[in-house]
Amino acid sequence: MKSISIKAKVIVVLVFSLALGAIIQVSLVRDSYNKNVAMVAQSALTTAQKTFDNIKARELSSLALASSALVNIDAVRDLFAKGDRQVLYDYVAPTFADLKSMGINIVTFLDKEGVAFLRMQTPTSFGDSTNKKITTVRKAIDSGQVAAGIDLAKPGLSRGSCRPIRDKDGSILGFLIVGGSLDQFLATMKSQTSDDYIFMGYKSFLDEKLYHATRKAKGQPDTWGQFAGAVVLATSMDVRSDPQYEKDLQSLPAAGRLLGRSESGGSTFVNGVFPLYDAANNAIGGIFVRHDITALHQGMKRVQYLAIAALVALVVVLSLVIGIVLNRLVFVRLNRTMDIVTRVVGGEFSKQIVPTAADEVGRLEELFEQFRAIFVSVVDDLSRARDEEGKKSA
Amino acid sequence: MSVLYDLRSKIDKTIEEKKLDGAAVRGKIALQAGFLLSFVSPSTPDDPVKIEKLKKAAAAVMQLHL
Repeated sequence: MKSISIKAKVIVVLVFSLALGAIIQVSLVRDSYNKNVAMVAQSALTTAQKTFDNIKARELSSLALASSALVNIDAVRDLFAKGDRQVLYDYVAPTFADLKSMGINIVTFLDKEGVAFLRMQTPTSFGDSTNKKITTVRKAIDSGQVAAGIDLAKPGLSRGSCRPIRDKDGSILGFLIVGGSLDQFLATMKSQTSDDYIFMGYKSFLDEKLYHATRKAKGQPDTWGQFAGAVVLATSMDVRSDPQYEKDLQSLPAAGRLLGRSESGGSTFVNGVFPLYDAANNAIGGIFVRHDITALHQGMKRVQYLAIAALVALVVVLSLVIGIVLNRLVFVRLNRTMDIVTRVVGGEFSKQIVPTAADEVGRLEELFEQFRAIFVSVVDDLSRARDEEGKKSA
Repeated sequence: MSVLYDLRSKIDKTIEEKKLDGAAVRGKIALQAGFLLSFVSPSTPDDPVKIEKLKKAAAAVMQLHL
């Protein structure tokens, strides 16, 4: 039978048990990490959504104030009512210059049906209907009230407030749009949260030529050909040509969706996306959020490595300690007993087994000593009987 | 003289020549062979089974090929 020492067996069992413990501990650390990551990701997504909503509310509020101030100027109202485009332009121009310096670069007067009467930003462009193209305008015309929101208009994403212009009797003369692009939204969100964002919108809301022209004019990357049904409107990071973006936008719940972890340039991120709605609450795209969790990830890795290193050290130390203890308490004493038994069988009958302690091995030593005494006595008796038999036969 | 006793004598002689631990070596051989060497005398009758066992034990314990 192949001989395997108890010491080796004990050490194997010890290593196996501690390895199992290590696996369980690492699994628990991983599980805890995954829960933390999910919490951090959810928090990042919620924060991004709230930040966006707050900035939007603030921006729309300032647009509403600006539009209110403009339509409440009697001269503006009278000039609009008279239909004198050039005089109205000249009168509003200084105010428009001030508004532009504050990021409000759209001031458009519309007639009652939503046909453009005067665009302060492009005074030569008028006479076209905006009613069907811009949700905010449609909503204001339909309700006869102020409407405000984000729109995916022909050239891209914009924010706007559309307010009725009323005469002294309260009858609607037309509408005033005050708005601007969303270019600074992204920078504001990034500065407030330190996260990265991609604003994506559906192509179906955009005019391809205007999109190309606007992107070129602003020196922004043109992503029309990058995706089947969506484009990048603004981004603070590199955008891969990955159809997954569009899949992530599909059936997006209002609270958004977590998209799992990703690695890039040695950093670890959690990702999420939440929907982008226009003034009529139509989904016009989505905002992807990327939150850096490198510190958390490295912390978890460090804990994992430490746990494994501690367990390896524990295995080594415990193996040594158990080996030494077993050696002292069991193996040295067993070897001594085996050696004495062998010597007695070899003829050294005087060799005695002295119990070394009152434990299990001590009882075995005692038993062997009793056995040895009986054995020696039997051998003596047999030798004496054989000697006497020899003398008789002689 | 029996073959068994002759084998025992050769084992004792080798132990002396090689200055081995007599009690330990004889004990190991006896445990493997299954009988006490001290009981083997010139008059001990030869038993082929015992002879074979003793030869095997001597070879295993002290590499003595009898």
